[in-house]
Amino acid sequence: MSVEEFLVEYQATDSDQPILYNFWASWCGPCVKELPYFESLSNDEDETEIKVVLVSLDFGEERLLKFLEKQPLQSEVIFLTDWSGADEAWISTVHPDWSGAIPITTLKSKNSSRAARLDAFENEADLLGWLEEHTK
Amino acid sequence: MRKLTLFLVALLPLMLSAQLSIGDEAPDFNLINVDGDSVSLADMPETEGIILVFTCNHCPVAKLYEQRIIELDAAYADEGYPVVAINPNSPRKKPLDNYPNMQKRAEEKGYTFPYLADPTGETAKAYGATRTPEIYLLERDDEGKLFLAYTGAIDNNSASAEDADAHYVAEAIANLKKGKAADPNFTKAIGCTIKWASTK
Repeated sequence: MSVEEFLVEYQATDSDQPILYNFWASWCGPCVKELPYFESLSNDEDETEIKVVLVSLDFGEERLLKFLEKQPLQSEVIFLTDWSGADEAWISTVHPDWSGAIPITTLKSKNSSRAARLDAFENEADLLGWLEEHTK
Repeated sequence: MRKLTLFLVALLPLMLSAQLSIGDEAPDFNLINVDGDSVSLADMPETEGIILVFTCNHCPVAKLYEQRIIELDAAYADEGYPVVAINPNSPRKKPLDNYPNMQKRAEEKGYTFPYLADPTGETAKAYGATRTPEIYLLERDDEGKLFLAYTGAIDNNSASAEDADAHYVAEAIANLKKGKAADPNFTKAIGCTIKWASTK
């Protein structure tokens, strides 16, 4: 998916479901470390109704696929095909406070407001606490 | 007036940790280079400016820009804009970014510019840096002070230098030499978070 196509989806307001977007890459250590926390969110449908989308900023889809072979993910994974050459304005569209450092996680809540976490979560409890704070 | 002063004093810690703004004076530092000498901006009073870059050994985006950083120094050091590279990552968090590994990298890749260790991240915080690689292009004013003229990416394609069609640093320097302001003076780019010595 191109950055342009992704932004259309990202900015859509037609769904009431809260959506968590995590921007990551297989080359990013802190990103890979926190993936299991998002995965447990995707697995645990009773406790939360949050949709998880993992947006990959890998250098080429092949590297992402190789990673996914070793570490399959249940959450939806989107590969941005042209992120490294895209107009840098897309970074501010994802969140005005984002400098471009990954990981970053954003949460679109029911009223379409957008919260951002600008670094990795320490553990699953940290993620759950952050979600609770921003889904009230 | 007194209230305003108190308000400003209360804000001071916030202001200190904020991003350096365009036109702000560049905070000086005193950091150890890979050759064992300490380096500060005050050591380079003759330059027109400085291409300051926060970068590191381990980050894949920094590695993709490494050759371009070497080329910036080759192209601009003689024109008065030498590169000064600073590694802001905690060696405890990222052993690949520790001092011996910095020395090794600088030697292997033939760095022609200082590569300074900022293991506490204090200098990166003073500039408001958030990621590697991240450029802070400094320009000297008539009084000899260095101020921030541009901050952000080197160009607009991290994966491929050939495919970049906006060369922000080169264009900013061209403008500065003509006495004009950098345009754009700020860009964002994907990079690695700085691995801070202490968690916030």
